[in-house]
Amino acid sequence: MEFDFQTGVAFGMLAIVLVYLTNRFVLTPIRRSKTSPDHNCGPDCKCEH
Amino acid sequence: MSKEPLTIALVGNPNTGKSTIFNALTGLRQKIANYPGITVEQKVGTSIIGGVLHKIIDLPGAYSLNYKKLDERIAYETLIGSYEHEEIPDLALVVVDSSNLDRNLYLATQVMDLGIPVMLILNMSDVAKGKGISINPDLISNSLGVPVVAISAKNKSDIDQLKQKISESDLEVPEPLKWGPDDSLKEAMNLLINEWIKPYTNIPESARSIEALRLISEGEFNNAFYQFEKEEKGKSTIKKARELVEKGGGNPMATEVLSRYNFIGECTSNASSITSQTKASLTDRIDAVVTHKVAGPVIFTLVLLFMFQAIFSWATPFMDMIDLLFVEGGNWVANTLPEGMLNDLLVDGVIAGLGGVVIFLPQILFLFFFIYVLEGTGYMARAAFVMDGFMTKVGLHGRSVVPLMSGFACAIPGIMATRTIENWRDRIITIMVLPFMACSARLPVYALMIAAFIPSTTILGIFTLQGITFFGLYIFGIVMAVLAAFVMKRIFPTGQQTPFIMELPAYKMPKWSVVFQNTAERGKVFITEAGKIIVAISIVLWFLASFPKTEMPVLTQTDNTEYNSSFDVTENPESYQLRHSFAGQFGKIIEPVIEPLGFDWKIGIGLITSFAAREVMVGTLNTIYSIEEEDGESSTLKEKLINDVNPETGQPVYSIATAISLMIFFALAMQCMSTIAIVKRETNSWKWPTAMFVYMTALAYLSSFIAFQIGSNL
Repeated sequence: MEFDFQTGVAFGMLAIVLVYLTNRFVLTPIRRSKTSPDHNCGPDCKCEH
Repeated sequence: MSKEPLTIALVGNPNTGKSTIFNALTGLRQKIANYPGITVEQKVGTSIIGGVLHKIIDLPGAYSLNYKKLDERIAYETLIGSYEHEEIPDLALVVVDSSNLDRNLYLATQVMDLGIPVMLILNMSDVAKGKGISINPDLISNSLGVPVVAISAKNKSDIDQLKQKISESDLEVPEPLKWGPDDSLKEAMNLLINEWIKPYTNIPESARSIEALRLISEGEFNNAFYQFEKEEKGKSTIKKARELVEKGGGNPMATEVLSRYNFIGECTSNASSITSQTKASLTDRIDAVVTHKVAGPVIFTLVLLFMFQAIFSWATPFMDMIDLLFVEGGNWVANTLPEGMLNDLLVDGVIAGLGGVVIFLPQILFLFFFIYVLEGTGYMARAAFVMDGFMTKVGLHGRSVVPLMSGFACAIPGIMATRTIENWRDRIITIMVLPFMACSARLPVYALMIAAFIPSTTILGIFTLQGITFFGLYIFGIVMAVLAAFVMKRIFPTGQQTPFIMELPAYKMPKWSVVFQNTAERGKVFITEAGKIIVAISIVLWFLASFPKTEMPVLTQTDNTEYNSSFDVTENPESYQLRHSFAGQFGKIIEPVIEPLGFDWKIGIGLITSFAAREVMVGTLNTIYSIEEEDGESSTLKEKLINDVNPETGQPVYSIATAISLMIFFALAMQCMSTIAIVKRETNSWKWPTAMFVYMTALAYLSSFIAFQIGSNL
């Protein structure tokens, strides 16, 4: 495969979207799932104020 | 009144015009933030009254301080000073709807028990007058023992009058328990306060009476937000207190409520009268039909049917225009940029993927336009009322209706709205069935399959089979949610149902600027939120479908190679490349699992990518089919699906049975990562989102399997 300008830009775009997707679908859900729930979160959960 | 700056809280039932008064008092000097840790808006502003700058807080609407709902709890906690960032208000302005005085005064009598100065605002006095209701504010003031002002918040002069009244107020704390609990209830309250609340809890002094009454009425520590010790002692004291009420001839659950309403009745019977017998209002006359137990559901069904038929018919010309725009745009980019990888990526990946989804923008806009018009006219509340009758019959709680209806737009706000359901099991059942409601992300998939494979036969002159199928898929979602709730209710009984009160606002013309603004906002969210994910996934998918680069072998007459499944003489080089790409190889691995549902490997790839967002399915198919397309060809995704042929069997990949199977799969499967994340957050456990994913996917698989096997054998 020839590595020309267009190939470079295309792979650059791929790298950017991989970073975006990892952040959007892996890192953010993990961060969110660690935040404490709000209210009425069930019998095993203690709501804190 | 003191010249010190005060904190003034506006409190009242929902729809009493509290926010109008807040806006009139504060003008532009306001800010909206969330209460700490919760997604309920807190509106705070300032107002110059009598030359002093006061802080004004607009509390969430509440029917009672017995906080069955999160909104009520926030109002209560702010009034008793539970929040560190907020001091106890110096003055509570209780806003009541003058045309519905008795019900509104219930909350007022509770606020009066909190030991803070209270002023009663009889709002909507013009509406009350229109209904022939005449109220004497002075008599109400004498009976309740608090200052009273009658206004219509829409009039500037009335707001000035309110400001004058506030600046003249002497901030006197009303007499507690003015509503007069009987001796046995008083004795029970004192017992509970002295023997348990005071020594063993951190309930603030101002809230002790309200908490004692709540514990007597409920008999248990439901929703306890305060810290307490000696739980056993607390339980036995509550029991003793309830016995005292029973000994006095009362019912612990109802005595307080009845006493308050008796007191309110005495106040209003002297101070208000209906001066003229007005005929039933237009709203009442419409409601007599629209909320009728037989006509109501029929009208609701017809409204939905018209809505979906209109979405399907009216959006078509706009969709054709967008389609043309993307096809021409793709051709222009293909011909303008020099040949190369970027050219292919932009044309077959980005433009094809995005175009496949943006085409559904007109339908999304029409869907939300109708939803906002129905909401603006007041019909949505009636629809919830009509659904409530049906849902409670199968065991769902009345409060589940509004979250379920929100699920038509998106499951996430619906799941968050279930916070208003006080019973945990009722709440979890609602969360577990809510993703069956057909959210707007399913619309592109439904619309594509229907447009391609369902004939547009006209039925009854105005409907088409396509519109009816579209409507049927939404009804299918509702029916599945109800059936699932019915089964779960049998597995996890939730006990006694508490009554559900819903306010039906008067019918009115929708505010068109709000309708258009909200619709545009939803369109923007669809393009920006879904669009970002679709572009990103299309780019990744294009790489996966374009690599590794494979040359198609050339078959000559002297070639004795036997035919095998990896090489087909009728296949074009693009199609060959796609089948041997990473995406193609992965698709082939999962194909045996989905083959019984009528799906090929390309649909399989779509099913996986659509887990990021359901709309991605359409973008994925468009990208895959564009890569496979021979150079120079340009057809719509619909045409590509209709013409797609399985190279191994020579049969069309899609049939009506495949399309129905795919639509059923999308209606039932849990294919939304954001929903999974929000369920985890709301339940604080992976148990519920996992159970949701497993049961919904299993149900989807089974139902699609049955639909395809029956459909293809007919």
